[in-house]
Amino acid sequence: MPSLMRLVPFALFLASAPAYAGDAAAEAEHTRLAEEMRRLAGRNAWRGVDIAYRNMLELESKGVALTYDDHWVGAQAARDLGRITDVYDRLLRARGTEKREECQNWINQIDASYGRAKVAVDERWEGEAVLAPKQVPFAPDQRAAIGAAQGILKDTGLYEGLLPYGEYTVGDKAFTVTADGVAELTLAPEGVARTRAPRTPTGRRDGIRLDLGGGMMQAGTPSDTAKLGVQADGFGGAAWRAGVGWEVELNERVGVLAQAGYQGLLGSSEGSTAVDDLVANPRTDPTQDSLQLFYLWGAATFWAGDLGLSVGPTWAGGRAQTSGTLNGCVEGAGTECTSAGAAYGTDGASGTRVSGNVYTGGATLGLTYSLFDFPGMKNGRGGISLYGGAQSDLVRLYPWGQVAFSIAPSR
Amino acid sequence: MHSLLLLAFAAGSTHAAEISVADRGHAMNPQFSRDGSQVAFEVNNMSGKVDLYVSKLSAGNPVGTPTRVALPGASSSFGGGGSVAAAPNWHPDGALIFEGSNAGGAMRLYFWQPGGAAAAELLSSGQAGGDLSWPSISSDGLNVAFVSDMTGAGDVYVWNRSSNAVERVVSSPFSEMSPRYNADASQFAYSRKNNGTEDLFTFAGTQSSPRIGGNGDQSRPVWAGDTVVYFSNERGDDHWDIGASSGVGDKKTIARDVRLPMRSTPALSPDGQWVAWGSSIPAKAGSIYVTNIASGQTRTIDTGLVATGEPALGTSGGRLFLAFTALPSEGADWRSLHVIDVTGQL
Repeated sequence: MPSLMRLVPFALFLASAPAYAGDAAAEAEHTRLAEEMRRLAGRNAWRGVDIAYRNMLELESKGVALTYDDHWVGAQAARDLGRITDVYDRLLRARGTEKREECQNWINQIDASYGRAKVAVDERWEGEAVLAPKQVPFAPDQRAAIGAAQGILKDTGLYEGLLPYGEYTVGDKAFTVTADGVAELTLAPEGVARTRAPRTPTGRRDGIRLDLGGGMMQAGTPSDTAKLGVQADGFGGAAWRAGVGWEVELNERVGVLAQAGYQGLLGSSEGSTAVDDLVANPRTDPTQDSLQLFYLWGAATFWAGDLGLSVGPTWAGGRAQTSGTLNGCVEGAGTECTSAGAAYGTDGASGTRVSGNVYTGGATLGLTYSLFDFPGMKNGRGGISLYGGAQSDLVRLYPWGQVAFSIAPSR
Repeated sequence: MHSLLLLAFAAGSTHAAEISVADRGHAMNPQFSRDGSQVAFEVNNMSGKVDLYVSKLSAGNPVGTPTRVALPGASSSFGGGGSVAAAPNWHPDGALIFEGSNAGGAMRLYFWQPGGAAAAELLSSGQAGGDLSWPSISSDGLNVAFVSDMTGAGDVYVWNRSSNAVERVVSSPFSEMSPRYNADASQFAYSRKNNGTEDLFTFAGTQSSPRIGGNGDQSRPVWAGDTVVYFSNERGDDHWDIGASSGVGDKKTIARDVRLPMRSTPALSPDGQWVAWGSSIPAKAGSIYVTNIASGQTRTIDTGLVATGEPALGTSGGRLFLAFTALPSEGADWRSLHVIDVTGQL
């Protein structure tokens, strides 16, 4: 019995281990996100701070208690993005964790300088519908709030939320936001009730997907030369790749993208057809390797904060050129090739220029980490990506890898 | 824990108040708000960290504990290591514009509303890239001129509040610095560093014009009516004077052997008739001097302190106040900020 008693603490530990591990993992993630928030805030990368904060909020369901500083910095991020309602909400959360004068002052300041407004533009309205303040406020948060409201109204035809006190116009209609009540304005053709539903909500991960970088690329050795006859030998080297496309969000963590671009070996593509060159100079004038492909890539994307994984099929086609063949000379090359082969053994075919069209299919896998808000873009984030992929033309594989500067959308 | 110490001492009929904070460092660069109800000042620990504080004033005496202006990303409980918040400029609406950078980050312009939220970046990097410095606010509050090093050398840009647009207005292969609007915001003066010397220019409309050149540096211009007042070390690196220029090429020295402030312009009285300065001559460094720009007449204000400098003048409730920094005694570690009522002494 005493020996069984000694096992009780161990059994309790085993029983509690999974729960403990789960909480510890969430707390560790909270610590990581808090450090990331502070690092990004120090660089004024507020979109990244906002993403980190919203990832933190998800940890609350796992028992993690967010701190005053989490909410406080989250409020600063929302302010920079012009989402004053979120600012207010995060400040209230901060006040709920700890009462500090700076937080209450900010809440008071919002109460004292923002009022509620509802602006609706019917889809059949043909006049101008741009929200404009009579006087642009000096405070950056108020300018950002107006800018965000302008974007929402333009995108959806409806803005309902906070605006800084003052006079505004939408088209030729004016309204005034004050502390009292809700300032309302509806633009619609005469006798038409507004029926238009809001369009795509804001905060979606929809946007441009751009990649530009360098790496390696290869045209592999044919897999079965005996059956294929004369084929170019494998070749490869340093390469570059650039593509631009669009990503659309399916849900908070998943999206799809389509991208078109170009990838090719670095180096010259000079030279002409194989047979003529072979006749002119079969050994001493080998052409530089060239592989130039246009590609189309469709992929599913999976996001965890700033880290995104993309995977999907690729189709690529273009032109390839190299020196050197396997299994003898190109048909019609004449005696120079075969005589060179006799003189130099199997090297006789190494000077043969071979070129042709390439049509391939395969897959691309990419890992993207967004680092900063890209200047001048609404929701674009700049970062770094690692890409790899391989295509096949049923004769050989075309593997490649790339390190790229990327622009990807954020929520 | 901030501490606040009020000292009253005889300086003629003046009353002085010391404004101190718990952070260790030299108090520097006091700037009165336009209504004189607040004074902003820096605390520099001389190890790469500069904090910005604002103290409310009542009849020249501090009210409550000075507020530290936190950069965004930091709260009162963390942040600030190696950060810089400096060069305060007051907007007519009562907000504060200043230069700031987190440790290792770019220098940017920030906006802070007293009694409200944490500071916010005034201009996004999309509007104006690079390190931003030397903000100057037009008297109507509609424009902010500043310097950006986006192109390599410093150029002068102007942000217009109404359009929210930023325009580069002065550019050259050399470094432009310290733009400062005149009273009606029709032009600004600035300096340009070229071949080891610094000269003054003015910009009006779309045109820059040379104002003052010479040996050494002619630096940190500020307008007193149509006169440009500036610091000059024409006599050598160790001798700073205050000069006044009433027209192109015109210049006269109105104060000699001035203790050069860390980053502020010459300290003018609100009516633009007087300039306050501290002396670099040790035997004269217990006083602040106030010189009439037109006549050159100088008044001496004894402080009873040591190594006085970094003065500023402001009015509140019809009274004139002088802020300055000084050591409490020989061998003291840190300079602190003092405010004196100098009404009737000019």
